[in-house]
Amino acid sequence: MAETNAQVILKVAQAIGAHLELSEVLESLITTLNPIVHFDAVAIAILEGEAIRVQSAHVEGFARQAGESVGSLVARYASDTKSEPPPIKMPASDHPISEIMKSREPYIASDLETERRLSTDEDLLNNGFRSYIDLPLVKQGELLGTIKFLSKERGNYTDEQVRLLQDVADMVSLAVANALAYEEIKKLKEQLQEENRLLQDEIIQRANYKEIVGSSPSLQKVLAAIEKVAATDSTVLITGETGTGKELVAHAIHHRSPRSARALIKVNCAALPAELIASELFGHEKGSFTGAAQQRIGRFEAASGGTIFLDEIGELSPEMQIALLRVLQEKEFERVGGNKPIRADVRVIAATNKDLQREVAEGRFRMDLYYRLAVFPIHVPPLRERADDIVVLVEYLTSRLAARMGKRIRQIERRSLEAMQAYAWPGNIRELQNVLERCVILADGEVLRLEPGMLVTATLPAAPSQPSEMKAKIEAMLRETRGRVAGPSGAAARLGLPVSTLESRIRALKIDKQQFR
Amino acid sequence: MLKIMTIQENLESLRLELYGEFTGESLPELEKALSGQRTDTRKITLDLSQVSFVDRAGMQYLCGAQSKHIALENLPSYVSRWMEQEGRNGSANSSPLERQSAGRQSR
Repeated sequence: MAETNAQVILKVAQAIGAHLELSEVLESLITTLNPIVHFDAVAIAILEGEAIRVQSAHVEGFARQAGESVGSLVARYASDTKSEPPPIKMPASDHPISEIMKSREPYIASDLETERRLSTDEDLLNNGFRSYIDLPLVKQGELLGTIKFLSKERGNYTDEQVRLLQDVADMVSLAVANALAYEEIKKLKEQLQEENRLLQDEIIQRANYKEIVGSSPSLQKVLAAIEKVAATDSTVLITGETGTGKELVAHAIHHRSPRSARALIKVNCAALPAELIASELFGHEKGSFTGAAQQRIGRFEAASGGTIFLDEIGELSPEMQIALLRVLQEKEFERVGGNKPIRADVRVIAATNKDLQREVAEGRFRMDLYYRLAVFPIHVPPLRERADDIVVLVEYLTSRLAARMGKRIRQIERRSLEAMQAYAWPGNIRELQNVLERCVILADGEVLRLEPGMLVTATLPAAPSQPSEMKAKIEAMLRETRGRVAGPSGAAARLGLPVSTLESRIRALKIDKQQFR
Repeated sequence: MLKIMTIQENLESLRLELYGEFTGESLPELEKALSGQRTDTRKITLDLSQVSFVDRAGMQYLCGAQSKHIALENLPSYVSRWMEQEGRNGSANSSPLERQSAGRQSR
């Protein structure tokens, strides 16, 4: 028998050494062992803190489908035996490992019909198993988990069989440690590939916008808020009209946070089709839906250790609002078609141009999700409230656009600059950039100027502040200050604008300030 | 990424030409190049004609450099405009981190 044991162990070593995936290790193991000791199933369970999770299982005569998870296999088997599937994850106290931790010896349940010491024994019996032996998997003195051999017959294990199985378990321990390391490497590789793909996209997107330019008082408030919240892990909700630079604020928070060494992963909630958004956010297992030919990690996983930026959060469907709420509450998610919870070590920054409070009041956005997101709200002001920043922004964007197009722009026409300062910019910085891009394309020499109609055609239909509104506001203030523009009680100070900006607007809007004196 | 070239160095003056992106990340390198230099006995000039981008931390550093009598040449126009604006609005409200990076050059 001793010689046979040595031969068996050699065969086991050869069989399991050829595989890296746990499922393949188990399949080859049971095929090799069955001629000597018969078993109907084998399962490997790994410790996860206070719990233990079945990582892989093989049931004789019950072929595992390609890419099938252990949960699906067990559920399919239980459905076949018309019983409840045994749990995949359980507290360690409900598993033989609680005894093995103390004794470091194999745990034997010889006849579940007559003796069931653990709560999970009942499930195993209901699934047709009558006996089992659980053996410790130990690597360098550390208990990794157990390997369980299950039989549908009563188990009369001789001491020699137990010794053989323990020797086998020792070999399996190495294979398990290798397989776990392999899975970790595979996961990290997938994460890196996904991160890389998303970062490439980010580089292209950020080519034109690199910095929050300007120092106006309203922008200073935003910068101060960024500074305060960046170092924390708090969820941030960035609000503001379209084109105000909410994404730049998200980047600024991430780059000043302790997570800056990892990626900031962006998800545009409005750009993803409803049927794909769950897979994009949480990933999917191979075969989980038509077209899921490969396992793929989602953006939450790709952002692990970093930040996820959920842009246009107000566009999330009610179903996805629930899924996101679960991630924010439990810090865990599952891939589509998977049943293994994945820990989400991710900081969440969300942004919207919608009035989310109104969306909540009108029943389109979950109140609980709103409060989870709005832990630290930051409002990015529209460009019309940053009039003092317009000149520096025009010069900054022009220099970048001109460099990109290989043009040399040395000057911006004064009249054009004044018109831009007086304009309400309903599309904010995005509109400003588009207008400047057209100006740079059209510029023949070194002077950049607005062409007639450029600002009018750029006006969006839902402009929150039209020139007529601005004219009325300035005239009302001039009336109050009796035409006085400068000084501490002048209209400029009271409107929060630099004197030069207000003067430009007065000229562009053709306001006669003399009439108020 | 910033590249610094020492163009002219003698007892009276030091001229540094900056190439590339002048951002918060490149400040330690510039500080190293300027460490131990005294502006009271030697004219120090930073030439930014080959700088393609300056971020907020870079701009605030330049504000601090200017106040320490370091000459700035060929500033991109948006940077000089931004520095003026920062002088008007920024210093009182700037964040601790920004003040720290802007003030690092003085040490």
